Amino acid sequence: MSDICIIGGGHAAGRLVNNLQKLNYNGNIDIFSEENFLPYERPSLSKDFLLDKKNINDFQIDIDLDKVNYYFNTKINKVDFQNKLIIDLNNKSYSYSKLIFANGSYPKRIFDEDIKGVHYLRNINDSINIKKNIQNSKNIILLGAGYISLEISSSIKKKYPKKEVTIIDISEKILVRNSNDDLRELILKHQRKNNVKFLLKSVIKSVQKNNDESIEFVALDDDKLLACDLLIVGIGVHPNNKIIEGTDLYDDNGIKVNEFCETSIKDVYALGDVALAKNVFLNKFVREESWNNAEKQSNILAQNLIGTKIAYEEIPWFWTDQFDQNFQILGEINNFDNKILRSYSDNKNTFLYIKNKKLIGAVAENNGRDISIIRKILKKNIEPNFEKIQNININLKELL
Amino acid sequence: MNDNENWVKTYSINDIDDEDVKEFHLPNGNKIAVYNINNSFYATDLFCTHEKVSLCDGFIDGDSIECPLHQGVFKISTGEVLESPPTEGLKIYLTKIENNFIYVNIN
Ligand SMILES: Cc1cc2nc3c(=O)[nH]c(=O)nc-3n(C[C@H](O)[C@H](O)[C@H](O)COP(=O)(O)OP(=O)(O)OC[C@H]3O[C@@H](n4cnc5c(N)ncnc54)[C@H](O)[C@@H]3O)c2cc1C
Ligand code: FES
Repeated sequence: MSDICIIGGGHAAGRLVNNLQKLNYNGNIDIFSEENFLPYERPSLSKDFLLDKKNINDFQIDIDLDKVNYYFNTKINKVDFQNKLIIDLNNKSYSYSKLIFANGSYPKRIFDEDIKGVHYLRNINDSINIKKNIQNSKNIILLGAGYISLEISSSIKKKYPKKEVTIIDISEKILVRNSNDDLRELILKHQRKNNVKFLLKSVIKSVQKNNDESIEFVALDDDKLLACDLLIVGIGVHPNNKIIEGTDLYDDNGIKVNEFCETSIKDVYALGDVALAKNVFLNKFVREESWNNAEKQSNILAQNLIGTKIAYEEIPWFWTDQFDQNFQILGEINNFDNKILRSYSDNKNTFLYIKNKKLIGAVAENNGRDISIIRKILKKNIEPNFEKIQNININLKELL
Repeated sequence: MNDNENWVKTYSINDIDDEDVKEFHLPNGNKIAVYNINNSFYATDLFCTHEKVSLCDGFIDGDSIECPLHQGVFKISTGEVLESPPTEGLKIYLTKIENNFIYVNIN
């Protein structure tokens, strides 16, 4: 029996073990991963890894393998909370003392069947396959105008400026989730400048194949045909919660946990993309799907597992890198009643969002320093002087 | 090389405000960041070890510098990583003050 049993071998799982090892935890740890790789961080998969600027060693998470039982290629299929057992695809069961769900999320699919030339991006093998296929493709279509597609379009155009890249989305706007109109405008400016095409309010109805079964055209809902030899689908992710279907813990939007990463079942925890976690700053349950969330929740959970109870109090924060530009989102960027733009130059801007005279969030283009300062203001609950914020000659640091 | 040749003259101590940092190019082509923290002067490599971005655009908080790209944090005096994503520490350089100028040891 393991003391700590972790389902999933991704970012959150790897960092959790790494943190436990740093804290000199010496209980038994079992990790079950359906992948064949040690844990790694995923952001580079759509950016520097696609561009061959980084390899897996650059983003693999360092854990001491001598001190854990690592089960590679082992997919957990079922959980029996009553008897404290997890069961893999071959019906082998393993008992646990404490169970951690760190099994992340999976990309939503457009077709049930696998079609040659249709790809999804979640893991390193997906990224390797996409990289190979980009090389030999002329007409690339990215379905879904979310962060993953916008990063892939940037990587493709940086390496192959002449390739046709079109992003299709059912919505009339890009980035329907986790964004706002200010950020959309900033991002679209760079995408369009680099000749990425957009077909919004469009739906892919079907694909037409060549004789060798590879994709040749996509058919849109208005029956228009678009030449396409590579279709990469990025239409959002869904939490990997199927393995607890039918149990009390099941929720369509993830595994519900409080700010300590605890579920309603004793000794059962969740973190990372799969966790629908209580966010103290937003005062609601959110599934964050971000590097920062996986990284910081694993710090909190490691402490909690060794008995130092700490709450997760991070302000939601997300970054995306496209066409050598860095965009960051902090806090609440939608439900505001006022905003201030600090524009330093064409490509360096910070929007600050205000509600009921309180600062609630920010969006920055190439201005991480402002985000660092605004995070401090929000954490310390400082009442900022908005006149000062409006004055671009005043360093935001003065508000601290 | 005698010891004198290891020391490169950079800025005057009056050129860098307290809690501020300035980029400097060494004669060998390497780029460094020179910091004033409460009138103590430090020098580190210019670029974050996670990706090639200038730490001079970052945020100084006490003895730490927060990278502008993904908010990795380094301790300025030792170069150690205080917050990920970087995993590799920052190269640091010895400094000394002579006649109000900051000298950096490149050895
Ligand atoms: C291409 C890409 C780019 C990204 N870029 C950014 C970015 O720029 N900024 C940012 O903030 N975030 C980014 N993210 C999001 C970030 O990587 C995720 O939020 C983070 O990986 C979540 O960590 P996790 O451990 O919860 O899930 P994951 O890292 O996905 O790990 C889950 C692991 O569990 C395994 N697993 C699932 N089910 C089972 C099972 N039943 N049995 C065994 N194993 C199982 C999976 O195979 C996987 O290895 C990106 C994600 C992707 C895919
Ligand atoms: S480039 Fe510095 S933290 Fe990523």
